[in-house]
Amino acid sequence: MAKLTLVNGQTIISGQTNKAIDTIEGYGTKQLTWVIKGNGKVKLDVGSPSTGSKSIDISL
Amino acid sequence: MSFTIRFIIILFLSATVIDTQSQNADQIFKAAGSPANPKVAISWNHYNDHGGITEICKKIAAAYPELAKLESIGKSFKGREMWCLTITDFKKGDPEHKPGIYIDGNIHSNEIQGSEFAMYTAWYLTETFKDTKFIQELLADKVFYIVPTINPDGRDSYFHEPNTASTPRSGVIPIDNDRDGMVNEDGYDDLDGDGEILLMRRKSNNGRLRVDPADPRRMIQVGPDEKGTYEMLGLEGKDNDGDGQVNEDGYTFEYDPNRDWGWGWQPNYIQNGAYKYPFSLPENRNVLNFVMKHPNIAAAQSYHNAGGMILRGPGGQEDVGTYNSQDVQVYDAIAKKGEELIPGYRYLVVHKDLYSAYGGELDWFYGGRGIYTYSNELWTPYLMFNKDATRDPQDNASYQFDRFLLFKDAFVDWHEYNHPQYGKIEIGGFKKNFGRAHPGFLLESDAHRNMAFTIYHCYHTPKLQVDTIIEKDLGDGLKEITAVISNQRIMPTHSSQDIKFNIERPDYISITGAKVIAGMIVDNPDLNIAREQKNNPATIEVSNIPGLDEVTVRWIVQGSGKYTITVDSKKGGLSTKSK
Repeated sequence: MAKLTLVNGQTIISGQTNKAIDTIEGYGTKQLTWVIKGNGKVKLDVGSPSTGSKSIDISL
Repeated sequence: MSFTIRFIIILFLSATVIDTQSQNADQIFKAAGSPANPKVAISWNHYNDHGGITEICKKIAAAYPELAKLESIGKSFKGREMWCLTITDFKKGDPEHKPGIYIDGNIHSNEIQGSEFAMYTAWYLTETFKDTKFIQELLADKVFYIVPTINPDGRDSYFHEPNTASTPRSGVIPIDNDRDGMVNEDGYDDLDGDGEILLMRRKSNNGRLRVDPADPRRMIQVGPDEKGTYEMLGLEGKDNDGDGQVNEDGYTFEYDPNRDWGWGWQPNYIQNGAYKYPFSLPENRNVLNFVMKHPNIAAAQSYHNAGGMILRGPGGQEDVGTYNSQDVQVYDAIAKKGEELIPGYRYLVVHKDLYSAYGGELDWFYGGRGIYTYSNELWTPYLMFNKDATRDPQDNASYQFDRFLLFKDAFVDWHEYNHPQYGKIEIGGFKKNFGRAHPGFLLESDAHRNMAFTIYHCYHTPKLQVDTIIEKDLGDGLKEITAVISNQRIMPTHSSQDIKFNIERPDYISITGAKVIAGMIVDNPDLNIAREQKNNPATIEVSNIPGLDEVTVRWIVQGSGKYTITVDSKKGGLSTKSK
């Protein structure tokens, strides 16, 4: 699951705040995109029961 | 005295001229659906050789320069031009950006009426344009590429050489059929010199046939407890090269031009009739080059004879999976309408309803180019009495039809001949213009019905429109522009086969006149699910615009002002809208 947290009046123009990813292959990647209007940072949490989770801040 | 004679002669000549002119326009009452007083006067109750086709095509192009253009797509083996009429409204739009249908006929030399049907289409479209709103709209949107014969050498040899209704099927490049080192040394022989290759029969005490007492022209099989009086000796000919065989190496079956196309091609030892390699015949290669130069061709029709069929591929069992369910839906929808429009014709699939054939034209058009293609097998015995009949010689419908409607013009009565090998025989049978070719009075009617089917097929090539444009202000000088592009016809811009093999580029939906920040395809407008296109967002690439459906795209733009949205599809044409 990929979860995007918005703050300070940021709005999402395209993309979903909660996005389920079916699978990520071994040594594989998945690309997700969002179009967001606003300033500052957004927080992205990605994880699953079998992998643990990872959180990053993305500067707009 | 001499003055008087000259005067009389002049008077006589002018009277003759007046007598041979057709009626005046005001003497004609229009029959529904037909051009009342055509500029190009053609009677559609006879066949035309290559010279005749050339003349008709030139006349149509000369009479309607704004609707018809004539070009040669190349030369045949013997150097005959392969004419193509491009029919569209040249005043409206660029023909190369209009969805097109390609129509040809006569790939098999003896399957002649496809050429007349194809030319009838060109003639009808040009002659009815003035009075018929539907045709005007059709030719504004679409383009017809009409190649009446893709086998002009074979066509002329069928007409001008002695032949049967079934020969020649091939073109005329010489082949040593029996591999004895000699070429075409023992073909059919027109023994009685009447221009026809007929049947040979001989009286025999142990024959299994007798003359039908109800019609002495017809031979019928005797029952197991009866004795016959005749035996059949095959088609008219003799042993020309003294090898003990009759008619074993003629020019009439060298190869099959419809086993030469570059999809699923197989060599001659697997697929009888294949020539050297895919597109090894110059006529087919000309068609290939033409089609590759016209990626706007979305539909195709190839005319054959006979049997009353609307055929689609696959030709081989191995290709069943190639025709997937979405494409079969399109094929079914159009062909089932065809069954309604052409009574007596049935919609069939080549490999399961007819026979397996590899390297056929319709398989290349669909398999190789993703073009929805039918082959119509023209003429069906059903048309004789508007009820089921067959071409089986044991079915006497052909004899009845010839007797009561053609007044025995289609049959050569049995007559004696002294054969060099068989002795005293009799020659007779149906002429080559009967059995597979339409009789004259039914030619125009069936041409019209088959044309109506191709018009329906062409009508349902994609028609794209930039439908609705919705704007949403995002604040800070940003604007969201959402455009819905519709396809108002049955055919998608890309058949499933096209998408599977990346045959044609995607459709481009672009915005000009605005500063684009982001661009995306909207998969679900209600739930706001979209896929962003990172590179070149002003031109969104869409893999397909499905038939009778729509796609939605969205841009985030900066600033305000006028902008234009354009959809540009190779098989779907162009459409623009400004706001």
